[in-house]
Amino acid sequence: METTSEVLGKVRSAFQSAFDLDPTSITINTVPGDVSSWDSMGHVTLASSLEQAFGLTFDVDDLMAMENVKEICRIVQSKLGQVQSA
Amino acid sequence: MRGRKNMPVRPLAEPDIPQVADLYWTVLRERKGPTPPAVQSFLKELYFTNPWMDSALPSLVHDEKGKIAGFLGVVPRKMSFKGETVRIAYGGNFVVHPEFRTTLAGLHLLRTYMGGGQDLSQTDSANDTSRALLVRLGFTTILAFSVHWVRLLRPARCLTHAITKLTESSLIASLEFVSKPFCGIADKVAARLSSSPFRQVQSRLQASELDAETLISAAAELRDGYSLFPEYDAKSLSWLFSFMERMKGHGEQLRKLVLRDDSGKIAGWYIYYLNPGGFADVAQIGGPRKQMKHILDHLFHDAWSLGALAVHGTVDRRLMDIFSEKNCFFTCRGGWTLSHSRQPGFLDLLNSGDAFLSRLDGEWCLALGA
Repeated sequence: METTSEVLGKVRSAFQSAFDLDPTSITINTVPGDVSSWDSMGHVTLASSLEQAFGLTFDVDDLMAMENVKEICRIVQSKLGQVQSA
Repeated sequence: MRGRKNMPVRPLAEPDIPQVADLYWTVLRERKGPTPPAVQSFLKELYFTNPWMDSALPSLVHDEKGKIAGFLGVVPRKMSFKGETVRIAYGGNFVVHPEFRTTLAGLHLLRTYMGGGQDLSQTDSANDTSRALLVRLGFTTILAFSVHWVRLLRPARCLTHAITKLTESSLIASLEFVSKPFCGIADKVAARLSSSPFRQVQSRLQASELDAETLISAAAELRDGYSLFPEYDAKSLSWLFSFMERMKGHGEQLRKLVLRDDSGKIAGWYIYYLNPGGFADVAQIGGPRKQMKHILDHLFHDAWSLGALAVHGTVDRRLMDIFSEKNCFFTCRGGWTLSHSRQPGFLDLLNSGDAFLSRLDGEWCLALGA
């Protein structure tokens, strides 16, 4: 099971890939309003980057729940846990 | 309405119209200056007086403490699916204010729309960006209704027109003006030469104005071969014709013609927006397969004689071979049809083309013109 800090590292890389920004600018407290290109279209691009980074698939409910970085990390960790216990 | 507890999405109310009109005008249409009063009238008529109004399928706004941050227009349509009436919610005029885009208002609006009480959510004119967003949210691209046909009527003028549109250069625009007489001669030859693919053929069918009652009875015979088709009555179809004529969504003049053979029997019909000096946009062509060549000949001649450069529409794939024989070419660059349904069967049916659907039956025909 990956730790929160390991997950956050990969989440940052996904942000870099989706929005071409400095990954260190992303913290656990980042919200869409902090990233100018994190709009609805950016959100689905980010979801695809996260799927690639973690080898996961997100459904629409996951997408809607990913309201900020903290929630993204929580959802990713929960899904990774499900994969490991399967 | 399904959604997150803190999601500020709610049904559109009439007092929202001025703010929605401003959003529509300045953001969606990218226009400068004050919003014309006609935009408010258009939105009010479309979303509060259309004949398919259903309080369970409202248009939606994203309300950020009294400021309308986003809008998604919904127009319900009634259709018959294997003998049962189903509700289709067409989404359109989707817009989010740039200041509020990081609130993910667009996603919240779409999610609420998809969670509504309709049997099928559909759009018939999505661009590439909306398509990508909708597909990620679970919509399916319906290729059977996303294939467009184009028939050139004045090929030389089409070429210069296309170059001018692509380059937007004043020099090229003046070249188009200068070349007009030469292109005119080339196009006249192209329309008359017997070996030309652009030859104009005078159809033997007789045309007269198409009214709502005639279309309803003519379509009733044709739609029997399909599992899904729109349900109209004279009131709703008359409203639609009047709306299209007044709003001039895709052209200066709406041409609606019914065609009859020598015995006076209906052979087919067509409805299109005429744009002299531009592309004519077809909303619907109807008629039995055996008459389709003659119907197309009539349409092309009508649009050509009134000054159109080309005709454009969406094709029923059962008739693609005939359109091809009539020298049309095909493209998907003209607006995507996408659908979402929680009921199994709908999407397979649509993808198989087993639906009598045209641009008359969705949101394409409900646009406001320039």
